[in-house]
Amino acid sequence: MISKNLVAASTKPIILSLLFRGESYGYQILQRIRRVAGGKLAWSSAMLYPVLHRLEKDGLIQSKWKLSEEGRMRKYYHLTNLGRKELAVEKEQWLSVNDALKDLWAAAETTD
Amino acid sequence: MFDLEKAVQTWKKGLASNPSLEDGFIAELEVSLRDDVTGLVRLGMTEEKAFLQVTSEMGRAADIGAEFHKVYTPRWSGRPSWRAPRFVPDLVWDYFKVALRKFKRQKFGALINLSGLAVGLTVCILISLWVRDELSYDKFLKNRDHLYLLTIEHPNGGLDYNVPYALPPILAREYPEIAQYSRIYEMGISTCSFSYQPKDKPRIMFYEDSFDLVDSGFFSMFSFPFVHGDPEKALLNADSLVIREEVARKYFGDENPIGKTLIFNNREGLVISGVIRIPANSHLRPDFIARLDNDLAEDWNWRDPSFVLLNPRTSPASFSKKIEGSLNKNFPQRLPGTFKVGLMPIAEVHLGFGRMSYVYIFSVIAAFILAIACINYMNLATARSGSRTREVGLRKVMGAGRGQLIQQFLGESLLMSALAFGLALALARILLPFLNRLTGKPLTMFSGTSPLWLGYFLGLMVLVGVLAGSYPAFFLSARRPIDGLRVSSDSRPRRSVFRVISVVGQFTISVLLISCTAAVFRQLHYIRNRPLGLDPDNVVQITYNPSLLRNFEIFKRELLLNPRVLSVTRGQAVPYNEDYKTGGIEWDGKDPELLPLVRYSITDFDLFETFGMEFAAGRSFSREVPGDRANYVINQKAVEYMRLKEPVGQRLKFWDQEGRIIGVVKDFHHVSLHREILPQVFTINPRFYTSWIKYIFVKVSPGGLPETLRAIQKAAGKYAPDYPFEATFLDKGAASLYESEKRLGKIFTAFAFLAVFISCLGILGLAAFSAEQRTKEIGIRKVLGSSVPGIVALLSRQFSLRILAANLIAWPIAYYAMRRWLQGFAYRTSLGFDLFVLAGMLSLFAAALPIIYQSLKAASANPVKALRYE
Repeated sequence: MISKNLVAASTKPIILSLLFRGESYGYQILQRIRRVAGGKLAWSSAMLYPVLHRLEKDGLIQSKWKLSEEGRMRKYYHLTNLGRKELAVEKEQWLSVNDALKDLWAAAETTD
Repeated sequence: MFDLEKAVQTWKKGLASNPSLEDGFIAELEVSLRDDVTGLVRLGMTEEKAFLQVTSEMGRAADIGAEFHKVYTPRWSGRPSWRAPRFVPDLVWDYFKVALRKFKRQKFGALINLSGLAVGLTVCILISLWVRDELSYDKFLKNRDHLYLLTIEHPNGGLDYNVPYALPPILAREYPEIAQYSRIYEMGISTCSFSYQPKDKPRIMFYEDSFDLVDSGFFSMFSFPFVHGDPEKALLNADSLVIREEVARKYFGDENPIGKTLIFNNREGLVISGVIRIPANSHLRPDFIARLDNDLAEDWNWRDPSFVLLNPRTSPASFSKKIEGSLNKNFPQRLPGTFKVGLMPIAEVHLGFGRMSYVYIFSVIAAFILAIACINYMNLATARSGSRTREVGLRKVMGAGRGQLIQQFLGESLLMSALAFGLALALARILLPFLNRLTGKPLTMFSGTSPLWLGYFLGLMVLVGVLAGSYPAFFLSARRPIDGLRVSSDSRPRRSVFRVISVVGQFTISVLLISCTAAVFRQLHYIRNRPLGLDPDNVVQITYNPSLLRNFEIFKRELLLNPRVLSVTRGQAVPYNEDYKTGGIEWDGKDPELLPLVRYSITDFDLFETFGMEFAAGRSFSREVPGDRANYVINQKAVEYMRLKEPVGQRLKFWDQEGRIIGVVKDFHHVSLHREILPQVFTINPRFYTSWIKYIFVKVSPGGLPETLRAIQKAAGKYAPDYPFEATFLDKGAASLYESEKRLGKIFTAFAFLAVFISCLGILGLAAFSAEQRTKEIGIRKVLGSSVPGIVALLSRQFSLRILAANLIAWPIAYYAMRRWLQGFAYRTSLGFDLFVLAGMLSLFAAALPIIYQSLKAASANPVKALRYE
């Protein structure tokens, strides 16, 4: 399991990345995360929805109520331009952290 | 059977109970729930199990709500979105309008509050100005933290701020901690005159009282600003003279006086080397300053104030320990007892010797009077709360929280206090000249005002607003809406403990001040009517000068030719004003352990006759007895002090001049009755005349005073044409003896009057209110046959009881305080019970006026009118 702090920190880039592929709604986002992380990321709907609202309030995503094919009204979220820019920034940050860790661990292994 | 629809509805209801979860949020969560359940059912789970799993995963409504709450709450206020804001700017105007309407509707109450607060604040502002000035003394000096006055603590505990001349130089030599020292030799105790001869203009000449000789380091210790000249070089020469700006204007007009010469006593030319400006809050304020020559360096008998400047790194506490015993150690003769040398910080010199207690007393009085005014506001606001419960109820129903109502009422009291403050500033401005006349200070409202001072004023205003408004605000806002909105038949005011306590408190303060005033006046009356032991009436005091010294005998003879002149003598000062003490006295049978301290008078024949002093034994100085000038007269206290059984004929040595005691004069009183009568020696030995005589005293007959005075002036002009003529009548001087007590009496009267006035304003308001509340009761009582006096008695009983209670509380406090004050007098009146009864009667009478007025108004109204209004 991934620690609580890391989960909280990663929600924003994960949601933005998922929405980068196209608009989506809450349940679908949850399902996709489960599929990608293979159950390692414990997300609940109680946690997801406030985050979505926060991102919308910050102007990174936008929402719209739509009638789905199954006849249910769903709230769909999509990225805004600001969200796209934010995603690029996040991506760079996470990659640099990733690179740094990789380098460190590689170095650790060679010195051992 | 599990019904999903029903379960979802119940779940939704649960969510809806949380105020953070809006309908839209819930709808979104619902879709999510349904999607999730459908998904799980598709995987083979039952609907019930799936629902339970999903809802348990989602968590409790409160937790979800809390998360959403975080998203939608602005971080800085922390106020949840569903709660009404604490402060609604749109309502401010409304509050303001309501407040103004209330003032307008209840003009009487508003006026009482406004005037009470304004008067209270005025007192507070004026006293603050005075206290600020008192506390600012000598703070302008650059060396204030390292400048000290040398003091000597006597073995009996008395503190003396005059030290022997020889001491400071010895200390400075012995202790490197002393950077500078300066003694202050007061020349003004003998006649000083200065004259200036401008070119082509008549000579200008004045007598001066304030001429100090100082050591050369004086100006590096005291940083008086120099208008002209250089502080470093100002005292370089023996004939240098530094003068005050005002003095420079008096002698030289607008010319630059540097380098000009003033002639001292028609003898010595002194060259002006500097002009200084002495701030009003300097305790040291000489008009003329010259260098003290060192011929006094070995003198242990002559004492004057001395200051030392310590090195900045010296700790005054440990240094004063170090020098404590230096007087005993260095004094040439063996000293009985331990005389401790001490240091008094310069900033404390002004407030020392009892003045600080006045700062405390007046600060407390200001706080008291302000408290009375605030209590008035509280009382009236809560008493009239009945008229506002409906407003409070309506506001609460419309969603106002308690905090908002508190804000509103506090805002009202702040508005009131701001209005009162404006009035108070204007009033203080008008009254300031009177205060200045009373205290002799040049105070102004705003000159030299620092931001801190403005902040103090603003703080005072806010404090009064909050103090006065807080109780009504909490009291009113706590009302339940239903109380206000129900048409209630029970509008009788409940007896409020707070109101009882506050009225009693107000009158306690008032009675306290009244009794203190009465006590001050009684003491004043006592000291004024106590026989002084001498008669200064119809005595003309003429300023002595060297020419009159030379021609005194012939001048005296000429004056005595005038039938209206009864007798002529001369001396250092009026006997009741003399306070010169010396230890230079020896007599037969003196205890060798005793270091004597006696007052002395250097005077001339006819002193006792001029002042009508009586003899207890022996005789006065006489011309007929050869060699009588070498003899002495002493007072009764001195006989006691010297333990003389047969004083007349005893040998006495004063300043090494031997003579005999020829008479004992009856004790007479001194400058102020604060001081005890001390043993005193009178000498007419001409050896002491040159620098000691300052005045000639002429006793005249009461009729035709202006003519007599003109005759005296003519004679003085003949024998001392080179000096101005200056004369005053002594009875006026005697009247100024108790100036500070008289001033205190006036100030206390003003304060007591104000306290009573504000308290009565409050009583007036409360009485009006209580009469209004009981209109119907009074109407019914009248219909049933009650008389007007009966109703007045009914209405005033309650107040009278409270005022009596206030008296009982105030008396012991006043008694204690006044006894302490009176202990400062060597001669004092007694504090009788009648004094307190008088204060009680006065307070009752003052309170009765408004009550009776209101009751009479209520009682004499037509009962029909009172009963008809429904």
